[in-house]
Amino acid sequence: MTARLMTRFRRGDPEAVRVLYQRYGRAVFTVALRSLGDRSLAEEAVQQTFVNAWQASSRFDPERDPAPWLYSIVRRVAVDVYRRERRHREGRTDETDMAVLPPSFEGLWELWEVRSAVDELPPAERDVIEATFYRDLSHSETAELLDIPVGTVKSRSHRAYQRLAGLLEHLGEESA
Amino acid sequence: MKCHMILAEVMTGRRSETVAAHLAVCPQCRSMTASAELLGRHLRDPIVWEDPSEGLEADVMRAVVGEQPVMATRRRSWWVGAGAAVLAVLVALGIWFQSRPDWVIELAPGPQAAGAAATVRGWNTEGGTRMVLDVSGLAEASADAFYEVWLSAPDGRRVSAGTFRSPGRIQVNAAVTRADYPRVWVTKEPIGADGSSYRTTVLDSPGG
Repeated sequence: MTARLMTRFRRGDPEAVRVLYQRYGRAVFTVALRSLGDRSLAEEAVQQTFVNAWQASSRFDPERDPAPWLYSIVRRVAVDVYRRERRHREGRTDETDMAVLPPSFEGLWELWEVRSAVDELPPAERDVIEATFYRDLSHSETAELLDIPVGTVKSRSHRAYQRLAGLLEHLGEESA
Repeated sequence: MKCHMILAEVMTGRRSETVAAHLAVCPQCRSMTASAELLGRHLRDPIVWEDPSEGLEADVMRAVVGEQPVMATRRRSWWVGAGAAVLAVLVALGIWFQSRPDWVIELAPGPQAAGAAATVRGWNTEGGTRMVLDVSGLAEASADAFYEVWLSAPDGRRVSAGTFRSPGRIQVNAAVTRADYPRVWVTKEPIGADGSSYRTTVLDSPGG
């Protein structure tokens, strides 16, 4: 993400928001979905996150990495949506739930980083990793699914591992 | 096998005899086993692979275009103001010359917004519903709040159509039809930095 793009964003160029969404929208969605557990609420939170970011764009320093900033916004938005839904569900109108957090609010930044790293993989490597981990397929099953040789599955898997390990090497240290 | 190939295998959680044999003699790989396994666990989390709807980008852009960024205070050239005024006139004229609406409803004030009123003109579009609200009697939202327009279905499902800060003429869009989501209402919401939320209904369809 270049400082030039973020400068355009800061100046109020809506197309810069589109690029920002294309780069970070999936990670924002992942965090919102984990927090809220509901796709439509998560998408509402994503929309509100980018609106809030847009409204605050003039205060953003273009030299900074936008990821932690967007993460902090979606986290706040998710809390708001969660509390609102909780009050509506329980038919309450008071504001006594200020300390209530969504149940799945742990490890969100780690989740954001994993999602962002996956999104940075070349599509061919991402397909192999998705088949292996999400679909739980063996190398030969992945080869059949993607119609490529087993050797290609292995080489893409190894390259993907190297990329992911490079991007996420700090995760193990933080968890240790 | 090379070390990175071994660790890629470790990441999958499946350990062949070859991998076990390599780990037995390679302290470097052994030291990285835990982080490879952790990475594998993260990648097995199904939520990592969930994508938002394809239409969300368009929804985000619609919502953003309907909002004004809060610009840093600075002097602007006179022609920026003049250009904005001309643009506002053109937008107003564009709205004025639009075709007749498919429906029109009057919104009644909520308990905490006595004196507020709105006329909503709606068009059934290919992608859902376009609405133009003429809102009066509402105070401009404070810096930490905004108004949000909603469409609701009889079973309580609702979709946000857009947000605004000041009364006047507001144009919003929703990706659902009014036939399915007949209730149109407006709430006041926080731009909460502190996480508080105090949804208050300020305008509502007759019969809510």
